[in-house]
Amino acid sequence: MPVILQASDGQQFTISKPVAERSMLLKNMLDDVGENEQAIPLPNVSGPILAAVIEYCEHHKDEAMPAADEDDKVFEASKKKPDDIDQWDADFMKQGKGNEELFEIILAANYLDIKPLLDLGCKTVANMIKGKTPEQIREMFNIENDFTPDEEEQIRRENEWAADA
Amino acid sequence: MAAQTVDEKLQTGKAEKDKGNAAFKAGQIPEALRAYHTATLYLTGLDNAAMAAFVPQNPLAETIKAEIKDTLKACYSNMSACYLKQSRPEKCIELTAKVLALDPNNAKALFRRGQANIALENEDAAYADLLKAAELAPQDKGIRDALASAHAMVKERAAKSDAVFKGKLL
Amino acid sequence: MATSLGPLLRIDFIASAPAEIAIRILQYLDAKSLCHAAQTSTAWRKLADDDIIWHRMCEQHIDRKCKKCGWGLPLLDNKRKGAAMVRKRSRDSTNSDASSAKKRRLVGQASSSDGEAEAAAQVTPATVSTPTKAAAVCEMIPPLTVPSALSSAPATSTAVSSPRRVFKRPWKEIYAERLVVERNWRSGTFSRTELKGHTDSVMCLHYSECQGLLVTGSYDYTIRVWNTDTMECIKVLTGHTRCVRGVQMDDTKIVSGSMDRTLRIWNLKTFQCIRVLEGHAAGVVCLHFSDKILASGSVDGTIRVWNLGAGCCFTLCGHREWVNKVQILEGGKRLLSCSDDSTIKLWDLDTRTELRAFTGHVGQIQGMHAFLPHSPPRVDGHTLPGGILISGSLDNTIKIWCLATGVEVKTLFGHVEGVWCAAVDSLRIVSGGQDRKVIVWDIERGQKMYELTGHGGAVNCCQMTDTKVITGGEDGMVRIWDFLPADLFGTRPAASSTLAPVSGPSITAVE
Repeated sequence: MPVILQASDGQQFTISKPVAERSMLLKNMLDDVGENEQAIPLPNVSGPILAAVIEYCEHHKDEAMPAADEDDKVFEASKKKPDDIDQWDADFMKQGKGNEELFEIILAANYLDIKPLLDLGCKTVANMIKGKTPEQIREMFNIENDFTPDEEEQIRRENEWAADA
Repeated sequence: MAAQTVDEKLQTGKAEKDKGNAAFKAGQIPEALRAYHTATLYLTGLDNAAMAAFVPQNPLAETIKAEIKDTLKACYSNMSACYLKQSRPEKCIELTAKVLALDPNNAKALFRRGQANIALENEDAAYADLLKAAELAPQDKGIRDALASAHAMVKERAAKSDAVFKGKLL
Repeated sequence: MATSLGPLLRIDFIASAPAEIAIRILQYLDAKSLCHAAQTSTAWRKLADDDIIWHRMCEQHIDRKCKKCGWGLPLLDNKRKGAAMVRKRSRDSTNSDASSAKKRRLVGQASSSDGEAEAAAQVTPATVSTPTKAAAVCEMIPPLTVPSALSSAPATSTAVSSPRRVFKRPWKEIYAERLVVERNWRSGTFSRTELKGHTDSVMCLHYSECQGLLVTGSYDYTIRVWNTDTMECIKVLTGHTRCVRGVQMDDTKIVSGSMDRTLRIWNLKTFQCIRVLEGHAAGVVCLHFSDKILASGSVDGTIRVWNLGAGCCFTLCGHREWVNKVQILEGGKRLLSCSDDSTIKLWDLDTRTELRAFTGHVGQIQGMHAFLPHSPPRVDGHTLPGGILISGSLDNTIKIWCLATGVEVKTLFGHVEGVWCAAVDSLRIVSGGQDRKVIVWDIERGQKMYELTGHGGAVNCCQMTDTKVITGGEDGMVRIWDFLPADLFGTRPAASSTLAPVSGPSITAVE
């Protein structure tokens, strides 16, 4: 029986149970509550973002789910190749998505408890930070430099050892 | 339909929680769980600044944050009670862990986890939880009874393994 | 995909997201990017410096390089440093400059886990076969515990005192230190300190990192005890009537062996000679003790094995010439010895018989060291179960042997005159020769890395730790080559050591 989700702006989405169950949050609920025609309200995800999340889940619906306690192992395994992002996933994160959408997807994945999507989002943001100077990072992420010039110099020296790392 | 404000979500969450409580009292456990699940859908993810930034709302006042936390705690706690009633001790343990993450000295949560562990025959874990619960709520008879049970289980197991070893050593 | 959110949403995501998410993102970064991230703002710095992230970084590096020893810098080193601070505290009544400089680098919360302090004290290696114990605890263990800078115990307490309050050292610091030290080893960047005092050739030495003490024996018949934090000689032990050829210490005693045919046991606190062991019919050339077992090799080719607890002794015969080095293995079960007769022998101490002879050298074997780590070391494509044995000979070569099989695995050429001493650990070999050179070799590739020059005469003795090489030579000098920079985080000006350190990039580096 299909599952109906309602986003914060009222938009409704109908998806199959397996797709819904990519989200541990929804899976737990569906396990407890059984099948039912009532829409599940998701007041903390907006329509466009929910659409994107559903798109991801649809594409990955046939994959094995990571077990609850395998988080660490999965993380370690994926960490060994941080740049190794699947092509579809990479395109998914890029197409028509600015920083805000990216962040919202991360928050949504966290909210809905979809670990692979959360990891994908985090990796994507990490790749944006990689290899950049502090000034470039500040610009990209809108960070306010709240160090005094002295502090800044001291912290620079403290981190100098990594310069050739 | 415009997105709700944080305050509105909080009220909805509380309303759902109350619905859940009513259903639980009426013995309709699945209905209760649905209501509690719905409540958590409204309440989780609200308590961080990033989330708040995406919702038309000023940074959350501390009082609202506290209220959100309390309501969530109540939901998780009641859900754990539901699971116990349904004889699903593993789920109970999962939910009590969530309560304890928000409030490590919550006697009720420790009590329920203790009960769940008894059901799963994890005597040592049960005993530890119930001991702490009893310390936190010394007047509660339910806890004391459960603690006595757990203690008995631990002793029984110790006696059994003594017997086994006695047989083995010459 | 239109966004309903306007330009006001240019927020600092990492700073405002829940900490777990921010950390999850940062965990994908490499060290350099993390350090850049830490320089952007206060909030970012707090997240980017987080222990969770750097703990993972440390673990990750261990996985890539070597399962147990990371970059050849076992965490044990930091524990030893911690223990060093303990003993120093109990020894000095006032805080010296060096230790207060170290303190400044350590930040963290006080914790009351004495359990961890106990563990730190226990892994103190007591003997020259340090690598065995070091290897056994090479897994990732919680950051070291170091006594509080402010609660100094009174000077009357014994050397092994457990700290009252403990600090935890941040994982980022540990990572940084390990990275920089390994980088320095590879590039040959070090600071060199020279200890002057002996009036004749330095023949033997033993350095105890956790105690911050170095003990040396010389042709001038004396033994000198040095404090390596202050780089000063704190005691000269006299009593031997001939050259001192062997020396070793643990946390309570110093044992020395001399050409006057005796071994002497000295109390490390009072520096009194408490025992003189007689029995050798000729000069004592070398010694090694492990727990209660003491072995000594002699000019007449015999090896005496003393049980210090029971007070008895037996003799192993077999070598036909001077026994130049002995090493006890496996807590007293076995013994290795090398000799002027060009062989190395492996003995079973329970049956008191010879198990194996390692032949191949064509000259007197002067230096020998066996290293038994947890995971079998790899040399030049070979895996060596049972550990690695190296020997240095007057035939100018160093040989690497498989301990388990007795097979000679590799010969290292590089010294142009006889090799007097050699030491090995999980990543490197260091050797000293008549040609005044100290050579550092890479084990895995079986190649010379570079030379350390500075000795004015033959290099007679050497020892290697995770961060240092210590050598003694014919010119009467002891040299400490330190690959750990004194000032890792740019937090204070130049080192406060009284002796001017000599910094050097690699001297005669080899591709």
